[in-house]
Amino acid sequence: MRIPAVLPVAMLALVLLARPARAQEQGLGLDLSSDSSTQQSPEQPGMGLDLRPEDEGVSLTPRFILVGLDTPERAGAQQASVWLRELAKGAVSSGMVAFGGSPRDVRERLENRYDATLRCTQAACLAEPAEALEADLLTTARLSLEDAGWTLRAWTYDRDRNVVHEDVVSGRNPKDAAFQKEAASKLGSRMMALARPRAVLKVSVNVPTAVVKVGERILGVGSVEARLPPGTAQLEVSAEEYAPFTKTLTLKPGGREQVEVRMEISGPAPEGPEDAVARKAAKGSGGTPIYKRPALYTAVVGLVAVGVGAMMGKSAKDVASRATDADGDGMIDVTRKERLDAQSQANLATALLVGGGAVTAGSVTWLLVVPSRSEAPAPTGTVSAGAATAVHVVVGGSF
Amino acid sequence: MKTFNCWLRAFAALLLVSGVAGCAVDFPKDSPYTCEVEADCGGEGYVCTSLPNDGPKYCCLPEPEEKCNNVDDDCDGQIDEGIDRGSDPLNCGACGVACTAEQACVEGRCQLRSGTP
Repeated sequence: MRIPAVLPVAMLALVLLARPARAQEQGLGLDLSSDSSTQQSPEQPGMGLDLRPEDEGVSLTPRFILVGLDTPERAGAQQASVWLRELAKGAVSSGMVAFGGSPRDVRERLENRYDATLRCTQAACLAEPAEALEADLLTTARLSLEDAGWTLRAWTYDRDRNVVHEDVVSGRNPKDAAFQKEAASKLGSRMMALARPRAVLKVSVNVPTAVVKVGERILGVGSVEARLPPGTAQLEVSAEEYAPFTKTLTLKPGGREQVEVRMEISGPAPEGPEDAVARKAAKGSGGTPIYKRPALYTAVVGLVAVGVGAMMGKSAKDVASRATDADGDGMIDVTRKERLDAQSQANLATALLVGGGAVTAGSVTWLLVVPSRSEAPAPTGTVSAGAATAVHVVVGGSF
Repeated sequence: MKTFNCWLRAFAALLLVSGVAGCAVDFPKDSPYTCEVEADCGGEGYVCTSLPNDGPKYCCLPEPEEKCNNVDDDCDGQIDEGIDRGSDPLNCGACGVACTAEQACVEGRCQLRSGTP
């Protein structure tokens, strides 16, 4: 019996194509690796909910962080872990928020501010921790024995709107499962009411040192991508020596907005490797507009001074021309006061003419002779030893 | 620097033109100036007065006392008032004509006093 040649070839191909198990790659017969990514974390509540922080770069779901549970009574403290798990599950089960970090993570990140944050019930003291934790919704809770019995109070800080919402649930005792479920359900409802999908804003800037801000929040330097609350926002991109860029954005929930910012030189040439870019930008845009150059305004001021001086001089000359005894009564036909005033005007007019003329001439020279920004020689690959030092004096500028 | 020198020249020329066009004015210094009220004379002690016999008004700088000089020194509108040329031995008959110690001014003439040898 003859075996067809294609069969062993196919088997060999199968063997070669099949991916070996990870443990087999390490030379073991069994996969005994302790890679946590393939196992469920022991901290996870076994309810099928993944409470691990989500990848921030991808998710547009608001980040929810449970700061912790304040338990003044010992009976409550003994049930704190159960309560925290139930509250976290209740919030995440709403499907509207992503779990941003466990109380343990929060404690580590806030350090000595943790206790104050845990007991905070006002927006004023929750805003800063929410900012630090990058939480869109931040909840802190207290389980205590009140007049109405065991009471759970949860304060949820909405970072978008800068307000705190309080939820209150009372029960028979801290171990009561129905009590716990009701509190978790209420927190879940709160999440559904408050959570709004984030919007992604991607800003591309041609200047690597440009500071990108939305409202009062600095997103970063250069081209950035950020998750932002939906709504109207003012984008501002600024960099030294460049004209600032502003734009009003309307960010839609779950939407992605992309803004291309091309900044242009507005002042004296920056030092460093951006010289070439700056030169190109200045040439491309024709340099600084003349109305942005101070020399134009000093020239105008000088011309006004010359004009005023000329008018005053003419007035003085008119008085001088009348200073004769035209009627032959032996008296000069102008009063002595007119004469004194005319002499003062003449002196002032001379000063204005000379000063204004100097200012005008200097300003015009500044405008025409000195360019709006220096055209420093382009760097070359080789520098001769005899021309190792060069000094460029720049006199120019703009508003 | 050629371009700048050109503009430097233009700048200097403009300065020169401005200076030349400066409004220097020249007024007569020895003639009296007319006036209507005191304020027309511009202060500095000048007063507005008129020549005798309701003549034209002019700005006058008064001197402490009236002298015999055919000028209104104290600017009161009168000339040489208080000086009697008929009897003033220092201005006898005319300003500046003084009689000697042995003479007296009588009717504008210097005459030897009576009893003088």
